Amino acid sequence: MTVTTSGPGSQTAEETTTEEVVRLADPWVTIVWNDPVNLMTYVAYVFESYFGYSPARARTLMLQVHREGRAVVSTGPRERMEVDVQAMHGFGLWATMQRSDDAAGGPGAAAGGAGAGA
Amino acid sequence: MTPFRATPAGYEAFWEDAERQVIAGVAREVAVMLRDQAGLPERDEEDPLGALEATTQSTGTPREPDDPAARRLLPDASRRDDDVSAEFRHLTQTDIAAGKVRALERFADLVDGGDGRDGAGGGYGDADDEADLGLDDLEALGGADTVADLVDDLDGPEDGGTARPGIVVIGHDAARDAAAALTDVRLVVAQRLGLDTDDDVELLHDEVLADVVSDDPVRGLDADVRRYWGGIFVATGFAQQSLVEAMLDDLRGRRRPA
Repeated sequence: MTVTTSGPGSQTAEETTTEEVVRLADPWVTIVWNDPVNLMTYVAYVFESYFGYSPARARTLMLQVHREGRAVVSTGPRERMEVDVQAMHGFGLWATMQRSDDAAGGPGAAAGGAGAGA
Repeated sequence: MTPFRATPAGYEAFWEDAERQVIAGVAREVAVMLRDQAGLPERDEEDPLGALEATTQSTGTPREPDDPAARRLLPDASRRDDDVSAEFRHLTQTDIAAGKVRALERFADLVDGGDGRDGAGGGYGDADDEADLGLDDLEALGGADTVADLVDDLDGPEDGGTARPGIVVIGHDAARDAAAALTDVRLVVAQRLGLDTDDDVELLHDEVLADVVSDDPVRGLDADVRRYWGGIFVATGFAQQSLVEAMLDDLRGRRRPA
């Protein structure tokens, strides 16, 4: 889900968040896995309410979980991912964490997705 | 059972008495199972969540659940690194489990007004005796007939019926936990019914709604068991769907610039 890629030194202030910088130093990801029980509406609600994602982005991620079996839903330092995984488990979603370079096909694979804004 | 609708008080739906008693009872059963599986102390009026005691007394890794349904609610945080999973469990399991137990018990109280708590409701849904969610003791929660009714009128109260449906009110501050509690109930019931795939869920859903639930010889579940727990699974899904749709509407309304 790296949507704000830009060359070195080219970031505007808007893009250069602390989280973005830390991510480069110690990148981990939180992955949500598909399960047959959780309702698509609920998964979208979790992504919107917890992560603050837009309805379109939450829907894209939700559909990616549903169709591809998993989606990277957040990126950052390990300690931050532990917080996110804990929250996902609290919601009843099946989430794991790992180093981002272990996540084959993970970050960035979600951008295409059908159905955004449908 | 009617869909949840947004009201000034939060989210409201009409549930028949049997629906309220059965679903609140199952939520309490899940709470008991989870408390046991996560090694949380028994419910204590001085420390209703048991969280304080569990946290202060834990000197090592919290107990790892051996019940597959509890493991689904408290899953490993890594698929490939046992150390990551163990550390995560050590750091978080007690808090996550205590939060879930709190949400389940609060949800149950909202649904039945606390009538079924600690067996106070008299007869119906005495959850304390059914901590194992064994699936084979249908009488414990009132018998299969009540839940067959439960699926009959998912679309609304019966016109002119003699039953007096109760209003279930979920306040705004309780809605997130209630939605999570409904998910946890459904996850546990699904595990007990062996619903592993989307197709499994779809098939049971169709069978329940058409009232043609059959035996599941592969998993050794007879039709009565599948009809009863399938009814609970479908009804809680219906409740959660409408609750979360209303919550999403409110969430998006708040975030939209005025």
